[in-house]
Amino acid sequence: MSLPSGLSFAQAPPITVPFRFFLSAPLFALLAALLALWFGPSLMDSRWQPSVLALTHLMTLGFLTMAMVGAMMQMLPVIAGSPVAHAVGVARTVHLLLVPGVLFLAGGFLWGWPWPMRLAMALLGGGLLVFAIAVGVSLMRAASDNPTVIGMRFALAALAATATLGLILVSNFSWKWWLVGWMRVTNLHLTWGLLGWVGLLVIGVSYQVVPMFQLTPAYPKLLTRWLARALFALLLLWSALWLLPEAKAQEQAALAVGLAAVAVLAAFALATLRLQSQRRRKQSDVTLLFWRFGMASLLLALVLGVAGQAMRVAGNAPGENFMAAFLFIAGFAVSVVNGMLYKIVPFLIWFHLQSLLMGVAKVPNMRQIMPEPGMRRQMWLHFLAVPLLSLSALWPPLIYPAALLFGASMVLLEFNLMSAFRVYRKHAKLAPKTDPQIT
Amino acid sequence: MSREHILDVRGLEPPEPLERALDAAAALQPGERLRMIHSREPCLLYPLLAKRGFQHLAEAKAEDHHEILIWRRGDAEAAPFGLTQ
Repeated sequence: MSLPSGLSFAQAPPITVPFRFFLSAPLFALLAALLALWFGPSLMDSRWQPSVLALTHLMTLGFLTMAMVGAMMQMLPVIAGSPVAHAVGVARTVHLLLVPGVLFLAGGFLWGWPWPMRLAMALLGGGLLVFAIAVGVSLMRAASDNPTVIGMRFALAALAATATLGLILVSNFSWKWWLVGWMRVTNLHLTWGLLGWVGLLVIGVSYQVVPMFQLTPAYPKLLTRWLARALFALLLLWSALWLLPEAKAQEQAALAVGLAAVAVLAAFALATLRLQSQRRRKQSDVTLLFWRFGMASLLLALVLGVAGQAMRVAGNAPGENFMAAFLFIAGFAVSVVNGMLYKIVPFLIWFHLQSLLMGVAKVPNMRQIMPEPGMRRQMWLHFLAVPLLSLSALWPPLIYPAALLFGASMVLLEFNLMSAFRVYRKHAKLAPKTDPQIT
Repeated sequence: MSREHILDVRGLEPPEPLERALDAAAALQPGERLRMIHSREPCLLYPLLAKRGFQHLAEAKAEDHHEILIWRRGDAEAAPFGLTQ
């Protein structure tokens, strides 16, 4: 039982803490779409091209990590009961380091110059370090029996692994030192980033946000207890196997561990789809549809990923898996982040206005803050973009309509988020001037 | 003896649980308190209540069953267990 206390407003960091990240994220995805239009079908020649590396990092760091960092800083006090200390300063610092960091990294890849890469190393390394320390301390203080906290801890560890491996690779790129097995290091980097940082965070956060916002039953206890732990352990084991000398047995063992990790993610996707089918409210909802689309894309990406790996080990494979990558990043990760933004953003605006206005003026409802038709239009653009993107792996000229649709979807997402933020600013002006505790 | 209103917000989509609790709290008469039943602890409700001059006492009956008592600050009759602070 918790006694009533002089509750601090630490439970809700100022609205600028998450919003600076949320409002920046779609701009990076738009930049990725413009790059895809510029480079066109040549993107599909090889995954090692500078253009592909620039594009991937605009998506993973610029869009996904940007939004995930903002969401974590907002969610920690609410779902883990443990606010991030000095949230305003941390958010400002991390944001100011990440934004130019991603741009320099993408620029460094594109032009092949070492100096933007070195700058990017300092900016991204610094930004992610500040974030990891601030959020790490908050996660250490949080109650350990909360499956979301456990998922977030593993996700943060995965981010640290991804960032460390990334820094090693960038330093190799910009100083040209001799790095044994940089292809292996790259594979480790992207696996920790996609399955670890993105996968583990989505799993951990889903336990809370899916039942809360999509009105489904809770995830089964067995899953919430074991999924994140199993995935993290498998990633560790998989990484250890890659440190062994290259041999058929090592490859097969890595494939088996990879299959188990895929099974964990597939179990998560299937459980989520099942819970969604059991929801109490029957009318569809943009977030629900984004998440369904995301889970279906995840399942398809996993199947294609496994097929690609198995073929590679069997020795007759292209080794390139653009379709699985498009489905995982754009189909799964972007969809769930996009869907969540449509719940978190209007909710936070409602909450902060509720706190500011105090009966002086009526607080607009969620639909007035984020109107449904605008969200639906953007959702359909995204739902058209993802299949075309995936098919462009088979027929590269499709990248043009796919990138156009994806870019348009991101313009509309930014417009929707900005419109909601304008509603906040317009109403916040009506607040009595006496209480600056929450803005 | 204080009078208690029950407000069950389980199964409602955010921010409806908070909206209903704030409305119900605002309608409390002297000597009355609110018992809110929710499937999770509504952490973000507390600062909103505090700002409006309400106190609360939360108890987790089960992982998905939380009860939150809400009363007007200074209303000794409505305060549970004689809590006045």
